[in-house]
Amino acid sequence: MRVARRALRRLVGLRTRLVVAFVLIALASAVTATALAYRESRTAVLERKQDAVRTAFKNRVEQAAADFDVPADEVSLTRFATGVADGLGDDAVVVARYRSLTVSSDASADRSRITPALREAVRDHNRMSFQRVERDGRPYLVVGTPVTFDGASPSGLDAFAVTSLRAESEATAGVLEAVRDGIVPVVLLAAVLALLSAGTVLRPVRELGRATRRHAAGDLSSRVRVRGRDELADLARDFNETADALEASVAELREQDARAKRFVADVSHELRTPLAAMTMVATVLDEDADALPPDTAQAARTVSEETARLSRLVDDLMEMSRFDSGAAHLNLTPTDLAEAVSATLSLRGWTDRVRTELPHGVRALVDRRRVDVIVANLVGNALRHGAPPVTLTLATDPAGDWLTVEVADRGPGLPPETLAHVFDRFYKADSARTRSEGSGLGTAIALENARLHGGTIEAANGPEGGAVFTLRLPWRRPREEHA
Amino acid sequence: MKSLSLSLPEPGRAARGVVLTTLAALLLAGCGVRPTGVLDGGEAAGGLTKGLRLYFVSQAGRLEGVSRPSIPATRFTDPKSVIKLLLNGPAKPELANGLTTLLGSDGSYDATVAGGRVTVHVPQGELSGTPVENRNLIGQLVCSIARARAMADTNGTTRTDDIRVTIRPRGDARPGTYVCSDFLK
Repeated sequence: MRVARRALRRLVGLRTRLVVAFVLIALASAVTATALAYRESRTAVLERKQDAVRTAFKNRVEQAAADFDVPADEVSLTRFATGVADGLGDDAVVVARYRSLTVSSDASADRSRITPALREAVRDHNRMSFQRVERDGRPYLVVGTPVTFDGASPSGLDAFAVTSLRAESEATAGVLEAVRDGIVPVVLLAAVLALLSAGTVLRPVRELGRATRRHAAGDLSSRVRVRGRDELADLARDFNETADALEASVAELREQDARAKRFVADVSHELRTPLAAMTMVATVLDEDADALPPDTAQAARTVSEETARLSRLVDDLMEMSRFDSGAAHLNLTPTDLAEAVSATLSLRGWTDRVRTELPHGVRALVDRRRVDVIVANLVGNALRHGAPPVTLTLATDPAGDWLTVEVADRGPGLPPETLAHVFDRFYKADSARTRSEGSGLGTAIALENARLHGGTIEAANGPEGGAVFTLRLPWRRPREEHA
Repeated sequence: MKSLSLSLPEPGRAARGVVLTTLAALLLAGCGVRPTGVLDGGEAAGGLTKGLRLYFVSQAGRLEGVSRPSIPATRFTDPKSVIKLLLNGPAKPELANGLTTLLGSDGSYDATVAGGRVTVHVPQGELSGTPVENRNLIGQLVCSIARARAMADTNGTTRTDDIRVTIRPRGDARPGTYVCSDFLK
């Protein structure tokens, strides 16, 4: 789909448009120039021919008129016509009219080429007239003149000459043929020029696109080369400046983030020593509580409980800091998962409260402590927030690539808005119960532990109600089983 | 992309523009040699004369008419005065163009008129040249006299060829009757 769209874009892309535009411009200029040149040359050729024919015709008529007398009979009129035609070239036909008498130098010639309009003009105006006509697709020049007496008085004698313009027509057609032969190279040249100029435009655009994609992929250090001084160069410069600013902002944000995390790590670390002392004191107080007055005993027990909670919170914070700083490492050992999960449950006294389904013999390379943390967190949450029965199911996927540990309860399930945030740090699903037993980091730490293994934890609601947390771990088999 | 498409027209729109331009150019030019209406071609051809016309012989041996527009044809109803003009020969510019007269200088020509018929008596020895020369000499006489007679008809209905001229050489030679167009082929 993406490839097809890219191919389509290339088809209607800048390069195609440039080529089309260049070719069209070349065509338009060629055609316009041709049309103008053609018109000029045709006009020139025709005018030269017309002038020549008119002059020659007039000379011949005047020469022949010297021997011509009115009134004329058919013989003298024919003699006049042939006399005029003799000097006008082979293809010329001369028609002479005297009153009702009409003769032609070539009796078989088509006299309809002399139009009524021309005949009328010659008869009515005492001037020479001419007209271009077309017969059977061939152009002809027809010149007609009245023949006057010396002193310009009309005589009733009209002479017409019909000459072919075929040579002129072919000469001008030659121009068009030359252009037709020349237009293909011109168009090709235009296309090549368009491709070259498209290259100069498209190369920076492509580079910009590549750099932008690299940015999108997370490489903020990529820049484009600024070439020349045109608009594209400006664009490249702007891009580089934007990238600089973006890189600086991101670096600053990362620095701030790192500082904040370092601060948390430092604080937790600093709290450990006083907390250790406080825990020791609180333990002593707690043990001696029975010997104290009731109010003091109550206070001592409260201090002891809160100290323990604070101690757990600091431990969790330090654990989180290790994940954030990348200091957390997997300590993979061959483990029987059924046995490990059972141990987790029995250690916390939950064996009776959880229905388990643990197939035996599922051995994998995992960090046993971290799996214990995950399972304890998931089961603990189910017991605390869900409703019995809580079930734990260990399974392997059919392909043998993944292990899943599913913890489900039959409680009300998770509201949709909670599902998205259930792994966030210090996220409390029930805001009213701010002082829950957990530190608020439990699910976040469980997820980090799963991720450290290359796995995930997914939270969902079961088909029959209740929350379902699924731990998915890649199944790394211990070496001795491969052997 | 937006600004690019503004500065660079889309192929469709550009194509339409170019096609329109091309069509306009082609319409302006038209293809081939187009027919026209009737156009003015300048002054009419002249050359017809009503005045006297004399026929002399060119260097190529052909009869050629020269007009004498200053001499009214009506004054030359008598063939003898036409013959006299022929005997005088061509004017100077006509001589320079190579025209000559074949008529000898002796003045014993005679001519009589009877309606549309003219009889010319040619002096002895005038028709002693080559056949072409004799024919041209007779042509000079026939055409000049016939034209003059035709022009002298004030009705304007008499054609040159309506005048028949009989040439009668003195001596043994047989007479012949001619019209002008016999000599103008």
